Amino acid sequence: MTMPALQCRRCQALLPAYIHRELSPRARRWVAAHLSRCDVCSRVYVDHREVARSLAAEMPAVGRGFDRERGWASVQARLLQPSPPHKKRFHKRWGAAALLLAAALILPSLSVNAPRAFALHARPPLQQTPPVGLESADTPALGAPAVRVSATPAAKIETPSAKAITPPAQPNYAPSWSAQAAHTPCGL
Amino acid sequence: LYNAVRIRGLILGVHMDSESVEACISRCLRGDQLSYAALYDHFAPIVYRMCYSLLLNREDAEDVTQETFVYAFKNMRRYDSARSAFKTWLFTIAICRCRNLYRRRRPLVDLAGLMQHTLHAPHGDMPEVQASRREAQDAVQRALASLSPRLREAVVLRYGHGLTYREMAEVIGCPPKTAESRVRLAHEALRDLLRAQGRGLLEELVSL
Repeated sequence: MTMPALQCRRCQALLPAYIHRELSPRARRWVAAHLSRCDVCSRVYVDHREVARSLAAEMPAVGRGFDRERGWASVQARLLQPSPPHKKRFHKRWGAAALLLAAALILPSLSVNAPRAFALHARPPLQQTPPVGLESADTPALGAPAVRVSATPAAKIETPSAKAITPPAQPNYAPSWSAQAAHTPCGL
Repeated sequence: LYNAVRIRGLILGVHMDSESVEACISRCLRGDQLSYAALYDHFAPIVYRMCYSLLLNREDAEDVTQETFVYAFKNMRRYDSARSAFKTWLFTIAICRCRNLYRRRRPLVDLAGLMQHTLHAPHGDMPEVQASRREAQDAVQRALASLSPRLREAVVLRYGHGLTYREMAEVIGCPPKTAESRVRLAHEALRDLLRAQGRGLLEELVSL
């Protein structure tokens, strides 16, 4: 009668533990019963037992011949050595932690939202700067017609007098939205 | 004083059961230098044997053994006898250091050097028996060298030191089932290699 392959596989997986007497009594009984019925597993069991026997016979002899005297002398010498200072490592650790903390504080300001934040801060002073052309054009002392002037290209049609009193263009000068809206060509 | 330590250590270290080991450890914690020597004399050859079986290199095994004892003696207060045996604790320390060496240096096994360190058979055996034993030794060491480090650890702890699967798991740092399956895998890997050798030796010994 042939045993099902599943049972044989299960038995063969348990064979080393069976040889080492590490199985539960129930599993042990099951393996013993299976071995008594299955020739294939019995042959595998014999092979495993041979491996176990030769390893158990030869392994304890591997690595014999330890020189105790020399080993003890060097262990004593190393025990007498002053232990390396732990302070440095401690500082290093805290230094790393401080760096991380600093990075955590600084990085959000440099992240994606940063340009927006700068723009928000930069805009109010620009809005507060009065449109230079408006103030100068409305002054009655010059006798010029009250033409609203701004630095936009659309405002190039002003009178020469108004143009003359316009201060030289500044590099960071930008017209405000209100001034631009007032001089749109379509009059909106 | 050194000689006195050695002599007393050797006397104490010949046979130490678990109770005398515990007593020795408590004396160490009270500052008794002789007890350190006794512990070293008892356990150093065992730790060295394990390290040599794993590393298959004399110098490395000696270094790791020394490191293990230096660490253990400096951290003796960390040892908890309720959790593990002292031998198991030492093995855990030593195996960590052996693993560091595997990682740093590959290949760690030098078969040519390995053959020079084969052990001689005890005196008094017949030359044929000596030759067979030497062959068996060589075969076992070659077999160990052919295994992966994880499987070698399992074989060394099980067969070299007779640890149970539970103790192996503690040393290796894995569940007992994993230790069991590593032993099984090592068995399967070694079956073909050692079967012929084992049978040959057995037959030879029986026929003599």
